[in-house]
Amino acid sequence: MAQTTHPMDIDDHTYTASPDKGKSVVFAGNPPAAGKAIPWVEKYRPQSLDDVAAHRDIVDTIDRLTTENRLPHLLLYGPPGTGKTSTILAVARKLYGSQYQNMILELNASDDRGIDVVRQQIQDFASTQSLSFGVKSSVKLVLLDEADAMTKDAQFALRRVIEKYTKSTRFALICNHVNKIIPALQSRCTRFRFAPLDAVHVTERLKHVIKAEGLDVEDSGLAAFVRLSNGDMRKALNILQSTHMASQQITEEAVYLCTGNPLPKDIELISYWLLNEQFADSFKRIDEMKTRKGLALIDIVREVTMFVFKIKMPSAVRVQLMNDLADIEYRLSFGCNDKLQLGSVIASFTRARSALVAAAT
Amino acid sequence: MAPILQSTQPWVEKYRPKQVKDVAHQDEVVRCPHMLFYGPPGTGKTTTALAIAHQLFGPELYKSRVLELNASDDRGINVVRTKIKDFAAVAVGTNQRKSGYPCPPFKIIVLDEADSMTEDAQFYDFTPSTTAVQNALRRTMETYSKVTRFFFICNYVSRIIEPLASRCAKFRFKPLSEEIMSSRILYISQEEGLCLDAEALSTLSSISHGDLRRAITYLQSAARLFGSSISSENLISVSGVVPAKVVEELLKACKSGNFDLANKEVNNFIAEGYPASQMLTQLFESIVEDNDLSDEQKARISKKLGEADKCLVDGADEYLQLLDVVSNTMKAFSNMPETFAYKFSVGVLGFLVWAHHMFTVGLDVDTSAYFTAATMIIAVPTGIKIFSWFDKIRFGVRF
Repeated sequence: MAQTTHPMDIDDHTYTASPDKGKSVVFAGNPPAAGKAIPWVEKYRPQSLDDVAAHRDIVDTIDRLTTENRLPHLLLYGPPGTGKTSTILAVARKLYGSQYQNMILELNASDDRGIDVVRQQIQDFASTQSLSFGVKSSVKLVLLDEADAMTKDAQFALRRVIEKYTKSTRFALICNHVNKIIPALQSRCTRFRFAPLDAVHVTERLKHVIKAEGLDVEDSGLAAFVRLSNGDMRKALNILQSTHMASQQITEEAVYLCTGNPLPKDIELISYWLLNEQFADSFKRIDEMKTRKGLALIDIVREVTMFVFKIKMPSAVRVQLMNDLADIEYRLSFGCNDKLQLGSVIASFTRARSALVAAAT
Repeated sequence: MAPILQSTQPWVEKYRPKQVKDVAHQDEVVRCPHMLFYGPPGTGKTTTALAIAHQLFGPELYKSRVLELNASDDRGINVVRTKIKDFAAVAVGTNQRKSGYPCPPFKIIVLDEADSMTEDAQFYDFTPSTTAVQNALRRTMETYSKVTRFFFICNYVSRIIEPLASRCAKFRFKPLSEEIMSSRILYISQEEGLCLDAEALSTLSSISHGDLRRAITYLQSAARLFGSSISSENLISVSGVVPAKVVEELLKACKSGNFDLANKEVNNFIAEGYPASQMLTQLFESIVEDNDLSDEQKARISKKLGEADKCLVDGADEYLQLLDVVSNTMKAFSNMPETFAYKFSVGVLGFLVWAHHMFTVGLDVDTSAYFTAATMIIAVPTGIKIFSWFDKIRFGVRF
């Protein structure tokens, strides 16, 4: 009987190069041209549960459940780039070995997520029995990546499918916002929250990739990757690959030029102008820097907001400044005029400056 | 000499370059797997993307090999699932070389204004946000990268999510300088048989702010309205820029402190049909350049201008918003105390008056001592008030 399956978009030669569990090996056999074509987030995705960089408690729990063949339905949630999909893929490899292409149905946001998918594809996949030999586990795995994009009707239909085929199928839901999953589905799954990675894990993993790819990265560039990623490993690797494509030697400036974010020293300069220069001079200088470096005002507002916390000022002044900057950021997200909103930013800092002078006397 | 005004085709389209070397300012575009063009509007991003497509495929294969989507098309997540995926999934045949064009074995999808997809919730029709749409596009890029290339065009690269941006080679388009803009405008003027002097050329560069598309559109509008001889005033009148004299008149009315005069200026402004958002921008520029204003005054006016801009974006009434800005500007010019400070001072004086009246109640000596102090303090504004009355009665003037 032919099975309706959708193979996961996994790099096959990446897996076949290292069939054993263990640390990721450097693919010395790959030609360099082919190596560049693969996104590094997929090339360096952890292959087994031991390789997952963080969340040892969650990984150990899932590892134990997998070993004892008592895997429940899983609901992994958290910010992007924290290892949710990697953990599930590692579990799948451990369960199925070389047969995982046939035993897994993967759906993500690129596919349709309506109720028809639940009625047709998922139900057809879940209802068919696998006759493959050599597979350690007889249950199959349905991987619903970005499950919060499913419609409510599809989630309600999925609830019944989960109940009906519990003996032969396990469902793994991955999402960013757990509140978008209906409570009926949440209660049928074991929930694991993946918090953002801390800087130590990101740095460690980045150094591994840098060594494997033979990149020339300065320490300031590495710090820039960690800072820009905000605990998102995928973001860090994407920025690393993107910066490497743009320039051979990776410095802090190259990283910020590549992502389009303002440089920290530019933000310091802008903050200095906002707090010290006259209104007209401040406007001219910031506007000129914005144009010359291609900075978005909304990014400047966000970075200046973080910089304000480093300056000593009374709480009342800081509170008012935060309130004004939040209002301006809100207006910018609605497509207001950049020039007028930049005037508002300078106005807020001018008033903060006057309040600082008044507080000092 | 080319015939004047024979064609009704917009000049931004008629003179859009068809090959990469026709792009007036940007050099050296290298073909890469996927491309991301970003920069201010009107600097040649879309032109470069389409010129690359033309140069690769030629006119015959262009229509079947290139899919263009921009902000006026549907940008929801369903477009990624159906239209883009259906176009990207079909493989192309090889050996279709056509009359000297390379015709590489892939297709191109141009996503113009890729960063303008915003969250838009409607009744029973919720559209996912930009990030969700871009996330959905990410898998499509991975799966079909062998047969399809994606060209993203946006204003700010930071608005594109990293999984998409990391798969693209980035090209930043800077605002065009004045001489490059002038050379292109002069070329178009010669082709269309226009007469443009140096002052008009300089005005065109300043009012378009490095946006070549805007400059060409202004030129065409001016030519259509005023014939082949175009002056600086003609360009200003067609561009929607408020004449500097109108802005100066409004500022003068604000400085005079006469609300009726300012109201008359606002009425004239609305009657002339100028856009209020343009007036806010030019008012802001005048405020920044004004040397007679202190930074505190500039701050107060700029804050109100920012708020009015948001209200106009939300669809507020132009007349009311302009009156609000004008009233606030008048108060800033005359250094009138802000409403809160004024009310606060009245409250303080009111409290002193109350304490003074408590003095007459007949409390015991120890308690009355505090209200005695209040009575002494309230004597100062009372004395000021009474002597003001005397002066008004005697000399007929007010303080």
